Amino acid sequence: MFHKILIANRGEIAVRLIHACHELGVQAVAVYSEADADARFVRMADEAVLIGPPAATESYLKADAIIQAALETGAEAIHPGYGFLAENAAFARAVQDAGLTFIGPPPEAIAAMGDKAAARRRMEAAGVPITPGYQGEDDDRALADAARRIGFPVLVKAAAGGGGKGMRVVWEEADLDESLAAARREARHAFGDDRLIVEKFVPRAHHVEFQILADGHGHTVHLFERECSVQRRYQKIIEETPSPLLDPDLRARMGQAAVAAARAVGYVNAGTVEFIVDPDTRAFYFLEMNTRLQVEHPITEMVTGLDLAQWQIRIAAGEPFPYRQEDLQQQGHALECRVYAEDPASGFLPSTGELLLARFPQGPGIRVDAGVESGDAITHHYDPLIAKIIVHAEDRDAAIRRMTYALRQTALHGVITNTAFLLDVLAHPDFRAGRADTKWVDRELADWRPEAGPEDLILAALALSDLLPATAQPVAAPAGPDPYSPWKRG
Amino acid sequence: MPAYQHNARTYNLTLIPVGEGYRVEVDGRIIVVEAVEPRPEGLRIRLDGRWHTVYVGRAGKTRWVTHAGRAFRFEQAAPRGRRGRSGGGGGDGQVRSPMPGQVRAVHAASGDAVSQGQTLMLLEAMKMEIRIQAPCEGIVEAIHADEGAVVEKDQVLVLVRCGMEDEKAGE
Repeated sequence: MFHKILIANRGEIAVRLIHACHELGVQAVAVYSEADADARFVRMADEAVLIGPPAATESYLKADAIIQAALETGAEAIHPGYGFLAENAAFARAVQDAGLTFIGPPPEAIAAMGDKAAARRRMEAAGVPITPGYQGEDDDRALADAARRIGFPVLVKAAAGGGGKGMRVVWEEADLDESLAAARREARHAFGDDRLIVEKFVPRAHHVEFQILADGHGHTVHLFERECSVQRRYQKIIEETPSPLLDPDLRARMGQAAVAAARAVGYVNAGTVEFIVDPDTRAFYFLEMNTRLQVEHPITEMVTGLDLAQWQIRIAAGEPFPYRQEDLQQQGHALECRVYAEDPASGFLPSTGELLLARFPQGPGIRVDAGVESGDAITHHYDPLIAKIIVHAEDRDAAIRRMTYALRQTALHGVITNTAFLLDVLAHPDFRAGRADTKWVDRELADWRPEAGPEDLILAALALSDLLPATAQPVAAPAGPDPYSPWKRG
Repeated sequence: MPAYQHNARTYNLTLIPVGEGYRVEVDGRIIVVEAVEPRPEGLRIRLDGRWHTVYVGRAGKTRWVTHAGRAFRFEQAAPRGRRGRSGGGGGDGQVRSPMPGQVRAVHAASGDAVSQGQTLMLLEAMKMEIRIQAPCEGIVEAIHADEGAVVEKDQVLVLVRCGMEDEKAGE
């Protein structure tokens, strides 16, 4: 086992990975930008190294500075988390060339899955179902010809892409030119690579992904699915497992395909094979493979009882994974809600500011993965994820009840968040019935507004608020009754 | 008498201590608060015989109130009788940045005729592309931020003179 690991990430995932290190008795080194100097993950780490100014391109994407920090602190391995450099094959290779261990798949596997067009060809060769599509010469005319041949609607997406960046649904030919231009612009900004591919678009598709885990001794298993259809513009909002759409037969076939996909690229460590599923035909198609730990990995941890972050580290250290496929099962039902600093009533506009209050839920079967505490700032430099609330319960209804209870305990002040929106999704008949597809939020909830204005209780609290001490800087909870309480007067 | 705004609606509030509780008047309507206890992050309030936990936060003129996972943000407003906007707001044709970010592209130039909702600028913030749109039909008077510029929330990005006057834009 390693003695010291450098975490090349920030926010909630850095916190999550530091927990994994500390549980395994490994020291954790954080790297941070100037904007994160006081962040929770920096405070938790055994050592922390400043690597640059706030902009990600000058800090969390600076491979050289990160590797240098690992060498200087004596870390033996680097965990990239998700986003930033996690799926950058050149970074993984540079880490190895520096004599360090990259906690993730081999650079060749990252590269094979990172080029979406090449990945589709390899998957097809490995017998993994793929959507009808086009991945040839990348000029606008060839793409337009392909789109006509496949038939609208089509999906235009970045060849180097992921996370919905540079991705556009084109419903009719008239919109194609504009969509190609927009997708190229986004792809160039997001990945520095504006090559595009075109695919058949499956309306009402569900996004169902399979977690796989492969050790360095040739043993590969899947850890079942995650249903991630509640998303907006490809940004996931709620994930759950098991998927309400799958039955044991479809689950087994998709699981086998996921394992075949991983084996086809010589995959080692944790990865996720994403599929879209047509709810009418129950056909499934390979979408892409994410060669890293996913944001939503905790729900898999809840139902399988496995600690994925720790297994990533243990596999990288050379340990064999001891469980066979038939040893693994899904126990109960898990849900994750992503709490974002954004305003669903104003087109999901991100909201920035200082968190005057961050109160997260507690109770049986409730887990919160958060990168922030009261007093921390939510800045425009990084993504708007504040926390992930994860629940585990005996079945889907119980999990929805538990999540509702958890969200009702949550209070975040200083930035606008989506908690009320999440509560409304959980209560929606379509969600209850497991009918939400990947366009459901955009279609049904684009004009979402809070159910009502402030009720009497809220207005009463507002009127009473001026009696409370100002909380520009939140103060710790007093240990006992406050002798100077204004409530004692008069 | 404090007044607060939420979603463009103003609430005029009066608080009168009554016994162990309070009487809250909201624009003439009465809410009876039977009892109140302070909490580190807010209040416990008894209404109609039931206790509720409400989280309350203050920062400058902003008030945050959350109950059961639903948060409301209020801004202290001028009390009733003093109508009219003071700074901050949109004004006539001042296009302000909705949040801090970086200008990715500028799609209009000084002197351009623009239609309402036309994209004038693309702003990138928190990995999202945000369209800055013309608030009205009119003529662009000035562009105040170039491509690549880092802008603050509420910074004026573009000035549009609303209305088309006589001359026709385009053909």
